[in-house]
Amino acid sequence: MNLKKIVIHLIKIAVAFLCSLIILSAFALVYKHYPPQYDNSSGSTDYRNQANGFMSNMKEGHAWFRYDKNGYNNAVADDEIDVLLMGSSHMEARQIGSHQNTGALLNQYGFRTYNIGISAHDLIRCVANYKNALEEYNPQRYVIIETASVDIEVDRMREVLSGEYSKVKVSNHNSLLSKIRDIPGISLLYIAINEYIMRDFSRKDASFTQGYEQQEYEQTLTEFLSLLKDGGSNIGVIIFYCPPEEVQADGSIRYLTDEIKLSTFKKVCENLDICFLDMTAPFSELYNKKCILAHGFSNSEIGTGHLNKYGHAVVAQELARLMGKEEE
Amino acid sequence: MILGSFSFLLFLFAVIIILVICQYIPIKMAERRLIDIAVLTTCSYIYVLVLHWSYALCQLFVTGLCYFAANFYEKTRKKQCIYFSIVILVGVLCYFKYTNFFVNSIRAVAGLDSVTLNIILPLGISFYVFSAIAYLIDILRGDYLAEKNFLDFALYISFFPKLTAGPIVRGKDFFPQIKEYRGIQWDAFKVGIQIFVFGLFKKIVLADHLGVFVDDVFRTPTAFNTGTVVLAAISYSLQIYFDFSGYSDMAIGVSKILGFDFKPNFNLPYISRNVSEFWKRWHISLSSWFQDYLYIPLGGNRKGKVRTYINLMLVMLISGLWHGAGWTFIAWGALHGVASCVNRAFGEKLKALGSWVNGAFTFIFVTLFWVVFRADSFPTAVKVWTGMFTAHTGINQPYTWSFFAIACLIVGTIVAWRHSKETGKKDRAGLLIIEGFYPVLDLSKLWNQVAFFTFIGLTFIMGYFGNTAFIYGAF
Repeated sequence: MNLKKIVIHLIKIAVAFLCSLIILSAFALVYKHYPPQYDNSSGSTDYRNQANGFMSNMKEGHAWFRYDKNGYNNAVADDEIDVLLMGSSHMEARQIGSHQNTGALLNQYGFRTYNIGISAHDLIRCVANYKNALEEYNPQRYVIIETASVDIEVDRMREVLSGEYSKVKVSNHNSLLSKIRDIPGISLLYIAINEYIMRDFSRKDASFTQGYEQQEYEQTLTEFLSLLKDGGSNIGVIIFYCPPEEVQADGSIRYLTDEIKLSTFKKVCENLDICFLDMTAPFSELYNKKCILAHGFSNSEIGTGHLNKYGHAVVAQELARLMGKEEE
Repeated sequence: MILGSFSFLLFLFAVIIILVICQYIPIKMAERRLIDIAVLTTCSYIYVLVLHWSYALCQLFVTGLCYFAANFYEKTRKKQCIYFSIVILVGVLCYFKYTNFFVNSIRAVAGLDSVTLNIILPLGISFYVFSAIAYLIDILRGDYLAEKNFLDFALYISFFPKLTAGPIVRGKDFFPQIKEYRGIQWDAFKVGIQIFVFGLFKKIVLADHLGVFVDDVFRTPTAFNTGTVVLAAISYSLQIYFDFSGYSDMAIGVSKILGFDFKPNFNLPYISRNVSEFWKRWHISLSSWFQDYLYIPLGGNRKGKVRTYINLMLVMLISGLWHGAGWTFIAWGALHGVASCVNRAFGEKLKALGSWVNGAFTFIFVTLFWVVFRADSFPTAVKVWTGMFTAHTGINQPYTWSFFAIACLIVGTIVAWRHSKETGKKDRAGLLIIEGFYPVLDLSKLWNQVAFFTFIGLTFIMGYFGNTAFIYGAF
């Protein structure tokens, strides 16, 4: 094979690669595409999605929607709001239609709600960003924070208390490399190949509160949650807990909650006058009456992963009931 | 290091690089062949050594035993040495695979608690022991001469692409290729890599996604409604097919890349019109092994009806036991045995129902039989069967990957049907024989390259990367 033939061959491969990339990018736009994320200078969340960015997801659940002008998942947004909803990917709800998530449903119940829930923002990050979020959005009645765990990492709580809290880092979108990585096909391939490689390496899970005495844990948690009361504002704070669930061999359902941690959390909230809503009973009722689990989708593991539309509906219903009752 | 994993790809890449370098060593063809075979054998042993040293030792023992037995037989013509070696091979297999099962079965009868003896099951032992037995019987029958070159024989037993889950390659197919080995060829490489990616798609996109749903339902069958349990049973039929045929395709693809040709191990089994046809299309290398080395030596269908039924039952029972050390596997084998006997007795009459009805019934029965194969115990199997046939409420999970897998299977079958129509091969009854084929493209054309790159991309994008293993890898 002479040099000319080799060069033609390589050019052909490069052209084929580019063509396939275009096809894969078109496919990615339908199958799974998240818009770029940027640092959030206001500090209400560590980062936000691209304003009006298009999102598609068929990997877990099925959803296609646009984020709002601030990069959050809100189907409707008023300038004045009653309720600010904070939380993690459960509240960002990339798995269901934008009219089906808790924020949208609370709006339907008559509470003007703005949802700034975004991936990786667990309770610790939400509390750390609480003041900034309050300043930016100025809710009139409530701030609601979602948590999927009541076993809170002590070291990270201390980081927030000491002001050494490190924010979620998002990639810089100015470099050429990151611009290439933002191409839908490449972005998706990058994630997939990364997962493929990482599969060969085992992962370890550890308890967050191991090595800490109960009293020490409770004290740190109290100091930490007190940050939600430091602002001096009169608005109510609600923390709601969505317990992870698991179907048992006999068909019953089990909630993966550490009962001691749960009662500690409840106690601390009560002492600080924070409303705590435990979703265990409503989720149980949903399952026992209708055989519907609050988590999981028709294309993922049963009962695990993110809240589905039924879970969001129950959460919204319970929150609306609680807020209605509080105001009475 | 499972086939298709990232570490396997790294390993394969290293083997290819070494073999390509060997091609540029300025030596005679015969010497180069020797070096290539030495490289492949060494790499095959490294492949198992990184998992556990005892795997390599067991493999070496089987290799040594068969090599010396075959050569000793050829010199002395003493059949006893072959018989003795086969007994030892079966003994080795039984020890590693069935000791715990036999001990616990006896303890259960005696009313004692079960115990687990710490016996490590060597990787791929069921497959290479069967290859070794086939080789010894072939030598005894005089089908070909005993292999004199130890390295060649060691490669036959240990060749890493086929080690974990087959296919069970016969000596008569493998040794001529070793003798004519010419290293990695670009044209074969292009075909092999396509077959490999095709298998990878079946495994990580279809089988592994289906596994998530099947595991959930088989763990808690009573929690789901009737439709979901039925869908899970069908999904398992598809999962095991895509898992194992995907593995076989990957093994065949890698072998092709390295310069070896193996026959396909699956041929659209779910279009079979009866259980006997199913076994001619499912895990072909194992089915033909049982036919050639067990069923026919037992007398096959030549010794009357009763003896034929006994032989069929015996073969299927042993096939069940080969698949796993457990009573559920034996029951699965027995169910297939009964179905084979029924087909033997009434097959001609059942043909009147037509291909579609027979095909549907075969799929239904095979799916029902897979339930006992998949279940970890008889009570679980009964729960799943009960769940399938009694209307009850529970979690509804219309798992989308199941529908996608069904669609892939249907499309694949239609493509194979159209392809078979072109070749026009018919059976004795004049019906078209539908045969599967690998969708291999001519990669010198630009649009074929585009299609291939896109397919690789889709495989990774849609792949499932949780914790999964090959189902047949456990056998």
